[in-house]
Amino acid sequence: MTDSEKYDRQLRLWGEDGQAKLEKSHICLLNGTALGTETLKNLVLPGIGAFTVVDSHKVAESDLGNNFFVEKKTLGQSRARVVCELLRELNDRVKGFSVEEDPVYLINNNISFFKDFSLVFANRIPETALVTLSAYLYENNIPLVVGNSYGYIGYLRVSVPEHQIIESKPDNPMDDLRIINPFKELDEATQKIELTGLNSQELTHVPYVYLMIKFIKEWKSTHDGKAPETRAEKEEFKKFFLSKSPNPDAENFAEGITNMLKVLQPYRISSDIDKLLKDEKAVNPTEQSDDFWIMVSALKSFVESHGVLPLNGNLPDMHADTCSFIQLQKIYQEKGIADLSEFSSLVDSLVSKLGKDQISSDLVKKFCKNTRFLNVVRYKSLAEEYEKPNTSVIISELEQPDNNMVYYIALRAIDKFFSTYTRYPGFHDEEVDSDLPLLKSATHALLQEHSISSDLVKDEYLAEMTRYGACELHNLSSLMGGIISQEIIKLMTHQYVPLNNTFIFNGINSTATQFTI
Amino acid sequence: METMDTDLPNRWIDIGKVINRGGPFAAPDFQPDTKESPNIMNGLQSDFKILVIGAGGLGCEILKNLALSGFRNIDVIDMDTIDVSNLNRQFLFRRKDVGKSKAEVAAAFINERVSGCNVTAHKCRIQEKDEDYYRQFKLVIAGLDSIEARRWINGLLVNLVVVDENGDVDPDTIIPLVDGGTEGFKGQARVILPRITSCFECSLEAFPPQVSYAVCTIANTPRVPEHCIQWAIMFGLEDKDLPKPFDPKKFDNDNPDHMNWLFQTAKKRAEDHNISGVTYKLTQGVAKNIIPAIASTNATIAAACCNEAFKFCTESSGSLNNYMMYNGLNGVYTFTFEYESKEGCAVCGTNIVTYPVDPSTTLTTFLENITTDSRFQFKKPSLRCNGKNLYMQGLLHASTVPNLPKTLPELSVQDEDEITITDPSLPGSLAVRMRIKYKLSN
Repeated sequence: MTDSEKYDRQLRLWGEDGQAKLEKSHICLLNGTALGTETLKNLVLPGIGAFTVVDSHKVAESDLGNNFFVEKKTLGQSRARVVCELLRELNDRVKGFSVEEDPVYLINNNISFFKDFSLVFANRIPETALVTLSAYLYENNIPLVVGNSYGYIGYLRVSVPEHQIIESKPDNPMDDLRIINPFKELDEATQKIELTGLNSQELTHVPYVYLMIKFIKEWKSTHDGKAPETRAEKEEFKKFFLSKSPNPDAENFAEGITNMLKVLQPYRISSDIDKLLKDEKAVNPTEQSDDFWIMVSALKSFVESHGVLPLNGNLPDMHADTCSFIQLQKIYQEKGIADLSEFSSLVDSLVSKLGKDQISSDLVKKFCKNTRFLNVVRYKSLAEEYEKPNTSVIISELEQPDNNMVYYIALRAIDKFFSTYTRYPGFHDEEVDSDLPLLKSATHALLQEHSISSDLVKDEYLAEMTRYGACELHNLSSLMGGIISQEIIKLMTHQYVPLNNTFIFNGINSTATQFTI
Repeated sequence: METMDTDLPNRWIDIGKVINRGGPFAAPDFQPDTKESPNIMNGLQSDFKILVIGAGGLGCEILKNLALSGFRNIDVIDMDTIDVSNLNRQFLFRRKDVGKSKAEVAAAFINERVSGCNVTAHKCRIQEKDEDYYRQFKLVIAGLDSIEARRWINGLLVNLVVVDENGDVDPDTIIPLVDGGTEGFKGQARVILPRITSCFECSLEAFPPQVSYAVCTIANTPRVPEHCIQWAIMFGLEDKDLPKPFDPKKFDNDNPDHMNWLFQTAKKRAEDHNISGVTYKLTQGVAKNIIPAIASTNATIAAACCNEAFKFCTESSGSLNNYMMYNGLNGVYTFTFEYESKEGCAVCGTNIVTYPVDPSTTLTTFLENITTDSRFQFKKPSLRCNGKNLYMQGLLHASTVPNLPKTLPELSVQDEDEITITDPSLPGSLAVRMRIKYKLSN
């Protein structure tokens, strides 16, 4: 059995390239709780390179009630070692290590322990230690993921200074057809096609791309050289376009109408890409620049001389006879190749100007094919969030009834509570009633610190959180483990767009919200 | 069987916090457990019998989640055997298990790992069990990829609900169906309370039938590699002049030799038309209609389903009302909303569906119309009207074939008459009643 058979269903999503990146990653888990092991399970199965569990706890009875990667016979043994062994069983290609040590001790006494990991996933780490860890990882450009499974509430936070994505793989990407602004070769090929000589059968086999370009040109000649812009003009153009159809059932004409509004849009570079091109790192590349920014910088030069991005060269299927389709496909492909070759030489000359190593041609090609979908996500550090959270977002969310932001506030207040009392509110049955007022004061202090009115967090939410007493329900851990592992896969493969920056799952009514705090 | 973990008094301490303590968001009737009457815990550990349908990507997760939510009385049904491509997510299976029953291996694994849990495996089709079998469960969770199976269990559970002559539902006969589904980074979880909320059939339009290619494109004007692969499936297999190393009637998707023949045939077709891009992997994808699947999405959706099951059984919290859509492609996006019951739903609606028809419609056209109607998605319907067979499947089929070219009025179907339709996609006793409304001719 080969890995490609075993991994078939995921390779269809992130491909060999994403898989190779996943296989190079080494993930560090702090605390082998149910949330921790459920997350790792979903990373070991698809085949990360390695994982390390840091945990000083022994397997307790309560672990047998919520953690799948312990067994009754392992009661009292090192939880790091037990979960590591049972997780390794899931995939013999993955290396697993365990460190029987308190993560907080490592953070405070041996922080460089974390320097070689691809990513650190922390859960149930007290606030002070977490901020220390976060600062260290941020400085070393290592992603930190913080997760929490707390009663019916789930929490996730992602942080890394800068995350670059070449293949963001949007859900329904627009095709890059350049119908409104045909490149020279496409324009020439269109002019060569004589529609008048075609019988109606032949006419229904002309790809709609040609029809559109031809009829837009014809329209322009009678409209001061302008393409249809207003709604009325577009309506009129539609009639004009359909009047050329040999019969009402012609599928190529129908396709043209379906795509008309999209293809009549003036060509423009999206604001996200424009922002990248204007980024300081693109404007002033240095010998410190990484491959990604060197390529963005080269892209900037390309756009400056052409006004458009390189063509990706793919033609989607459309109604046509085989021969015309293949011919049109070739026109796009060849233009894509020509743009790639020009872009590659821009990259090469920039690289040699900066005295850097060549960038592999595969990477340049991938970048060039995906220039419309580039993405850079920059995250706030945890320290900055704690000191200067995005209060306007917090307040506007809190002002809405039943918003999940209250749980973010409550979890932050619980961290403060823990720092003061070294226990979670409601952890012991006999303290549920007396802990609630203490949690209220902690919450109010937190809100006051950031000048947020304490009326915005109703007591009932704090009562519910005190009821939970830091309990970890397997379902919530498994759900959050699914989401957290997915975000880790995105961060490791540099494909798809990860969360920025906070996610709350409300397991009471199964709603969820993302916030940038 | 040990029931109460007497040797592990603190095992369920985490669950205990939500079932021993009241809270502002618990269900209205919630009665927290006390030492004297631990009713909920007893329910979890013995009375609440749960059925899991499917032991695949979702099913493995669901079984684990239920076991670690304290449930001990679990049945699982799956007719499939384990394939090597399951191993990237179906974590209860190992290489040595390839070829064995999914239900049996999954049940054995859970029972071994989670002490005290008792999962019973059934390697069969869900249609092989009768109503009495399904009636014993407190709740059913479905982790299926087949729309047909989900329609079937949905129809059955709706049918089990007793409704009196006043239209009042007997709540004791309601068995909730928690349904999950995934595709790549996307998925959905929903709670169906038969006869109370919308049912699976109400939302059939949300699951459109898979896209098919136009036959004339496949036959005459192929343009992309998928067209060539479809050609090999639709025409290549039937072509007697094409040599094959196997009996084309016994074509098997899972046989590598067969798949390789399909690949070579599609490749040849593509070369003949100057089309590039036919690969073995793409051939497999098209021929088997492969849907990408990953562990993380399955974990998320299965857990959302089990969280609802746990909350329903324990009443310790409010619940999902009634549909959550999930998309992890860009950030983590969810949308939770109430899917409304569809008026005239073929399964849970009390109304008969009124169906406008042109009086000149032949039975053939009528059959075509109702099978392609996305509201019904019939597979092989049988039609009766006024005690007469209009069109039947099976033994009676031949006797009804002469009806096909006749119009509905010629078959004595009057305006406002009711046609009763049964179909394999609906459970046996369930039928769709369609009231024919003739359109006035122009």
